[in-house]
Amino acid sequence: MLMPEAAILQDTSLCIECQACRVACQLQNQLPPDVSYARFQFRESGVFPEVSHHVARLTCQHCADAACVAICPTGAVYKGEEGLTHFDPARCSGCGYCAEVCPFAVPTVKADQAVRCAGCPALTADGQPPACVQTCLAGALSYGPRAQQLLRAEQRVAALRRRWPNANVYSPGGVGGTHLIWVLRDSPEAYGLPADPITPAGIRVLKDVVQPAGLLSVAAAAAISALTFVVARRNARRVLTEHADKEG
Amino acid sequence: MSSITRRRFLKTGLTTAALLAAAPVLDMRTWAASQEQARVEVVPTLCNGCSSHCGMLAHVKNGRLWKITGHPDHGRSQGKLCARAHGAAFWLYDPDRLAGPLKREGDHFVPIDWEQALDEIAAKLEAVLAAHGPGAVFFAHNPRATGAFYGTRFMHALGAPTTMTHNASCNTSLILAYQAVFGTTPGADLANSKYIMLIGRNPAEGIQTGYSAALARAIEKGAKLVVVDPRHNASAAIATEWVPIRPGTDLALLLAMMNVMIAENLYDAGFVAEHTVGFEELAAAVREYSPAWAAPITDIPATTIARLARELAAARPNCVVDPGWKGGFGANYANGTETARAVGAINALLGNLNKPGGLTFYGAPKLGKLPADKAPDPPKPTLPRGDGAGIAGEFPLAPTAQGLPHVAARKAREGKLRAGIVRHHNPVRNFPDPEHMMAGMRALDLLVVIDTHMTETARLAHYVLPEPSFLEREEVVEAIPGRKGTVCMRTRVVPKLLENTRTFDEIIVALARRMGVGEYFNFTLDELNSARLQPLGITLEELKARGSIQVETPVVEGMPKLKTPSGKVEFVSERFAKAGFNAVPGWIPPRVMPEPARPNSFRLIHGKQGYHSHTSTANIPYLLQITRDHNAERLWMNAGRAAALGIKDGDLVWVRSSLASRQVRVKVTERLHPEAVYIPSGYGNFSPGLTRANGFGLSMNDLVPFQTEPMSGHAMMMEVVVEVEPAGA
Repeated sequence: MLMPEAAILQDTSLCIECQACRVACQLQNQLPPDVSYARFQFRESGVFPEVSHHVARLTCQHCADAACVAICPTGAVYKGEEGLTHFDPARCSGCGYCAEVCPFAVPTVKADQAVRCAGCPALTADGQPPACVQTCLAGALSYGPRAQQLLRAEQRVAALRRRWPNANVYSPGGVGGTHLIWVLRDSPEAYGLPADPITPAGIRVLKDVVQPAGLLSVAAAAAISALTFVVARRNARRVLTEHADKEG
Repeated sequence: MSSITRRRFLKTGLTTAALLAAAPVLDMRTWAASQEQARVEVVPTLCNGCSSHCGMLAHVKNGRLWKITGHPDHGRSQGKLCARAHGAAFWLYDPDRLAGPLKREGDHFVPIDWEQALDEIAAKLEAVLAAHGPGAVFFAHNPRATGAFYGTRFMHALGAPTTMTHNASCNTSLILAYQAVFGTTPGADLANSKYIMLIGRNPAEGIQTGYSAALARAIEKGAKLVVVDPRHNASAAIATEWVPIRPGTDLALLLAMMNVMIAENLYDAGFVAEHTVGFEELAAAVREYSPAWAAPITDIPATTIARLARELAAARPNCVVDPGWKGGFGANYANGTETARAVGAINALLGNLNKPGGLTFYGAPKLGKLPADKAPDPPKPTLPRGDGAGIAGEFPLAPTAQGLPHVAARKAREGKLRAGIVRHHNPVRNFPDPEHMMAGMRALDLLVVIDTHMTETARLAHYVLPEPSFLEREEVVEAIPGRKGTVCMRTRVVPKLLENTRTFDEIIVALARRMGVGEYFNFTLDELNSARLQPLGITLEELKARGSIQVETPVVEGMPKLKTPSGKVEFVSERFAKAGFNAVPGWIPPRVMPEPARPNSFRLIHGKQGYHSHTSTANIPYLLQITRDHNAERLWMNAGRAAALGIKDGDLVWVRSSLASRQVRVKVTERLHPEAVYIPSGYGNFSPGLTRANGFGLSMNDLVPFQTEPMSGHAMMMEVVVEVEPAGA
C-alpha cells in the first residue's frame, strides 16, 4: 500500500506542556520510566512582568534527508513510506553515530541503546497517528499529509504574527525539509533550536554512493569526516546555547 | 468514531495482525509491527488519574495491560488523555499495593483475614453507636458515584449524618457562592468564547481533559485569553495577556471591573432587568470600588483594570470570566466565597448565561433508581452533622454535600466524632497542618481506611482494607453533564491480580449485613447499575461493552431555569445577610499579608502541575520521573527578590511559617509576582508505604496552619506568610 507523504505538525502556541505525549510514548514503546523519547526544553525570557516562556518538545525531526538513516550501520534507523524516520531498538547496537550526526542533537545513548523516537511504525502503517499525536489534548500535535500540514502551519503563523511578529514555520531546508513541522512563536534560537541545520554532504555520499558500492575504507573515511564536521558544530553550538538554557 | 464495542476493537486488532503477518519479512518495520501482532484486546473503562474519571480504552496484550488511549465517546476525554491517565496504568502492577487486610497492633500492622476484620469493625462501630450515637460516626471520600452511593447509603442506614469529601481543600467557596447567585455551579463554553478571563484558574495544568482542550480550541480560533494570576503559569504562557496580580486580591479586581461596567453603562441592561434581582444594591455597593481604589490593592494599574472591564464588556455576551476551581478562590483565601460571588455577578452583568462562549448550565443524563418497593432508601438522618457544616453558630452556610474534614479532625480531638470510614481520600496529607489532622485521626476509637495504598491517612487506621485497583473492578454507573451528556462506568480490564482484595461495595454490604441494616443492600451491583440505566434505554451489557455512551440531554436555549429563591440571578443574598455576611459582594481583605519591610517575607501559594493529582500520583514512577527530569518540585521565587536575598537558582533554602520550617530548592524565575513564593502541590508524601514518593519534595500543608474561612468553612490554604532564607549548599 502506498502512503502519502505525512508529517507531524507541532504548534508551540498551543502546547500546555502537560507531558501526556511523553508518557503515551513510553507506554506505546514499552520504555522504563527514566527513558523518554521526548525531551522538553523550556526557555524563559524577559523581566517581570514582561515575560515569555517557550516550550520545545524535542524529538525526532523526521528529516527528509536524514543523516541518522544514512549513518546507522545496522539498519535500526530507517525511513518509512510515510516519510517518518523509524527506529527499531532490537537492531540498535548502541554505537551512538545517530546521536553524533543529528543536526538537532536529539538522540542520546543510554545503556548501549539509542534513545530516539521510534516513529510508531505499527501505528502509521495502519494509517493511525503516532502515539504522541493521538493523546495530545491541546491539539498542539496533529498528523496528516505533509502538504496540508505545511499549509496549516503557514495559516497558523499568519494568525500568530499579530501577537508574535517573529512567528515562523520551522522545517529547515538544510536537512531536506522535515516531517515534523513546527509552528514557532519566535525565532528558532528562542526555543534552543538550530537556526540553519544541515545534513553534511559526506553523509549523503555515504548513503548514496559508498554504501551501495561496498567500499568500506572510503565509507569509514567519509563517516569520519562527517562525524568530525558534526561534532565540531555541535560543540560550537553547545557553547552558544548553554548559558541561555536556564531550565533545561 | 461514533460508537465502539469491545468486540469490534478486538476484531480490528486481529485483522491488523493478520495483515501485518502477511507482509514481507524483510520489511524493517517488522520488529515494531510484531509488537502489535500479539493479541490485543481493547477494554473500555474510566480513568483514576484524577477525579474527572475520563473515559479510557485499556489495551491489553497477552493478558497484560500495555497502554491506554482516550475513549472517543466520553465527554471529558473525547479521545484524548493527559499524562496522569497514561501513568495511572502503572497502578495495576505497583508493588506498593496493599495485598490484604491489615489490623493495627500498637504501632504496626498485622495481617488479618477478611471475615475477622469485618466482624471486628462491625462490633467496634456498634460500640461507638451505642455509646455516642450515630452523630459520632463519619464517612469521608473522594466523591464519585460508588462512594456516594454505597458510603452515604450506609451512613444513612446507621442514622449517621456526616459524609465528607475533599472539597473544603478544593472548591467549596464557589459551590456555596454559585448556589447563592445561580442556584448551581455553572461551567463555561470556552471553545466558543471570544474573550476568556481566567482568574486563578489554570486549565493547562489543572487539567480536565475536555476543558483544557476547549481552551486550546478557543486560542486556535483567535479568542483573546487574559490570565490573571500571580504566576505566569502554563495557561499564561499560551495567553494573549498575563496580568500578574497580588495574590489574594482577585476580589478587588472584580469589584473594580464591575464598577467600570456599571459606571460606564457597559453591562447588559436588558439581561439585568429581566433575569436578575438586587442590581441596585450591587451598583451601590461597587460605587466605591473604582480602578483607582483597586490599583494599590491588586498591584494592577488602574488603566489596565478599566481596559479589561471595557474589553470584556465589548465582547459580551460571547465572553466569560471563568467560574474557576481552586486557585483564586476555591479554598485558598479568607475572601474566597466573596470572590466567587463577584465572579458570578460579573458574568451576569455580561449577560453570558447559556450564550455561546459564556457560562453553561448543562444537565447530566438522568439516572434511574432501584424500585422503592424492593429496595427502599434508608431515611435521611435528622441528627446535626458532626463537622459543623450547616450548623448555626458554626458554619451555617458551608455546603453539607461536601462537609469539612479539617473541622472534623478538631471534633475528633474534642471527642465529639469517634469513628470514621475513609475511602480513596487522604485528608491527613491533603489538608493543612498534618499534626492537627493526625491528632484528629488518632483520637478516634475506630478509623477504617479503604484504599489501594498505605497513604498517610491509612497509616493511622485501626483497619486498612485493600481494594483492587481501578483497572480490576466494576463500579457504579456515572452520569457526566455536557452539551451531550455521557453515561459511563468502570469495567474490569483484567482479572483481579491480588486475590485478597475486595471492592468498596463488597465491603460496605458485608458491614451492613453484620450491623443489621442489610435490608438496604439487598441487591447486586449489576442490579443497581441496571436500575440506574433503565430510564436511558441502555442495557448494562451494552454499557459494559462500550464503557462510555453519549446521550442527548435536554438543552435549554436561552435563559436557564435557576434554582435560586427568586428563580433569577441573585446579586443580593438573603441567606448570606441572615448569616451575618454581606448581602451583596463587598471587599474583604486577605487574612494575612507578607511584611513589605522584611526582604524574606512572602505569601506561600501553590498550584497543580498537569502531570500530578494532589499527592496521589507522585508514587507513579512515570510521573515522578517527569518531576525529576525538570527539577519541577522546586519553590518558585521572583528573580529580583531572590537576588536581594542572595539566592541563586537551585539553592537550598529554609521556608518557615508559624507552623513549621522546611527545606526545599529554589527555582529563580521572572514568572512570579515578587510578593509570593510558589510550590507545586503534588509532593511531600511521608508514608513509607509509598516507596517512591515518600520523602520527595515539600507540601504546602506542612506550613499552613489549621484555619477556616467563615462563610464556607474551607481551609484557606494560601493564607500563610513564610520567611525564606538560604540554607547553605
